[in-house]
Amino acid sequence: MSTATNMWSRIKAADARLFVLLGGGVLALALLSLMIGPAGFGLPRGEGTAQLILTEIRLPRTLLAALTGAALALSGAALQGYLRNPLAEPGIIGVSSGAGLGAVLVIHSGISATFALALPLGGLVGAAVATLVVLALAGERGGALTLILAGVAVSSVATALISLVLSLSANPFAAVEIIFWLLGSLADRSMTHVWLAGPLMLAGMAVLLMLGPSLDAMTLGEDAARNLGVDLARVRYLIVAGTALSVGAATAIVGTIAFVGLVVPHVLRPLVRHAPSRLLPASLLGGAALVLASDITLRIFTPGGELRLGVLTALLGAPFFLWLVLRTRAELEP
Amino acid sequence: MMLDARDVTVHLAGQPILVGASCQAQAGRITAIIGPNGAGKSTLLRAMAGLLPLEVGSVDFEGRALHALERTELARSIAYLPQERTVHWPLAVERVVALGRLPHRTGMMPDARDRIAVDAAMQTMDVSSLAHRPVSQLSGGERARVLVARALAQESRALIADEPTAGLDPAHALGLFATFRQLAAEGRAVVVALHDLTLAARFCHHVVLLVAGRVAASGPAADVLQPGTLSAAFNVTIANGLVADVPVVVAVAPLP
Repeated sequence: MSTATNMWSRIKAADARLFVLLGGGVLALALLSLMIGPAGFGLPRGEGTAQLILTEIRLPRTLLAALTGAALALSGAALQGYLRNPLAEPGIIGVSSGAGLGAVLVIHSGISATFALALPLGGLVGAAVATLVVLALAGERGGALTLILAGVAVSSVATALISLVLSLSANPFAAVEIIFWLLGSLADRSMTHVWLAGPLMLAGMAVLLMLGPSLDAMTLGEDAARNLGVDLARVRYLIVAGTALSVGAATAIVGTIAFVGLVVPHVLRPLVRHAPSRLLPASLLGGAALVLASDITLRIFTPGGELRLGVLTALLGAPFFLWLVLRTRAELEP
Repeated sequence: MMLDARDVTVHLAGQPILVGASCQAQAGRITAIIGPNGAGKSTLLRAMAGLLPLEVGSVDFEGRALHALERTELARSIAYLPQERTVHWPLAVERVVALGRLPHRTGMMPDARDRIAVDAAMQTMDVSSLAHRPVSQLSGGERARVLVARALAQESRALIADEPTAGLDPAHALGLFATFRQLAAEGRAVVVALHDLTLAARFCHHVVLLVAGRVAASGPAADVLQPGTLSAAFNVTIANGLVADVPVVVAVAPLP
């Protein structure tokens, strides 16, 4: 048969293998995550306490780990595709730092002590405000560059304000709480957190997953993409909205998790033969697997919670990133 | 008239790029847009592809204003091949060509019709043997042919190409124009911006000469490609004639 038909069937088979592998990995890790805890290894059986441990403590942790990883890696893949730059990550459009600032203000003002959901709600409001400011700054017709500039500006201001709040914090306990929150953690989250953030994250991810064909077309540049029927302004709006919903909600609940949005798409890209549309679902699964695995590692080696999730992903991600830099350098050298 | 640009005026950053430029592209014909660097050739092509907001003037496709066409309908009607040949990720050649099918896609996956179009486009541009290679590993000329194949796979009624022969070896440049001739014979309209005046003389039916954003001459190729007209436009002395029965236009020396 024709070369094209052969190619497509080959691609389909390779993709199917990859997606089965990633999907199976996520399921296995999720199961493992449900089985680990101070109450012992294995799925708790029976009624009462054991049941409560599973549904009220371990299940929300597992769900949030998977959702957070999926959201971060998927929006990283979408932003890298949109900006056509492998160094883009969700933090670049200012949503994460906005969510961070919102949460920090809630802790600092003491509102977080008044009701349980004050902290995540503060994060969500922060993410929403940051998104609106970035969209307003970037303008109706601006391209990718104005979006990055606006994102970096908002991100810098939010980070500076977080530092200001920290230094103004009269209460050392509040300062420590802020620092710990910023380091990112999945500990002590409940199903209420899942119900608050889960639907937003899923909606954001659904928006991002729709963008595959448009991102593929953008491989040829903006003019060629428009000629293929892509509405660039709409794509940009959906990228920001999808990232704001998914990553904004994730950060509001879990705090800052470094490197997942950058590294996961980077690692998976060659495995989907660089096609931005295939990278989206692959990154979703890969991100879920990575954060689940990190959280499991954390709970096995530091059950007391000394090591924070965001710290671990950065500790694992940074050397890996260095390795990528060295490999790229080796490829570029004659 | 298939593609009809009338009195198009475009300013970029306050500078006039096109001033009242008109260009009619007929079905069954190759229309060449020639002119010195910075004359506004690419801008006129982008306007004709519906990629620029027009301040003054209009561009119609088969009697309907481009901005009245729905995005997908426009994408199926006009294929545009930009001068820029960057492919941002090292996709396989086949995937790049298949991007031309996006406006035709009905489902998530390409159907038999898409595959036939992609295969045919790759065969026409002589890139079938490269199908599985990443575009990043190709030479400039090979990549140029892959991108033309993408535009062919779009199967549009009109094809607009900006300097499509830049970087092509003589065999592939001649092959490309034979393909354009074939497309025209099938009833499509082809519009190309060109620097190679001999290719314009040999293959194009209609020539529009742009100088400083204005149309200096427009008409049948043989009428426009005269030494007097070209000499004034390009500021060089021009000689023309027949070599091996092929019309040839040569720039001889810069005018003092």
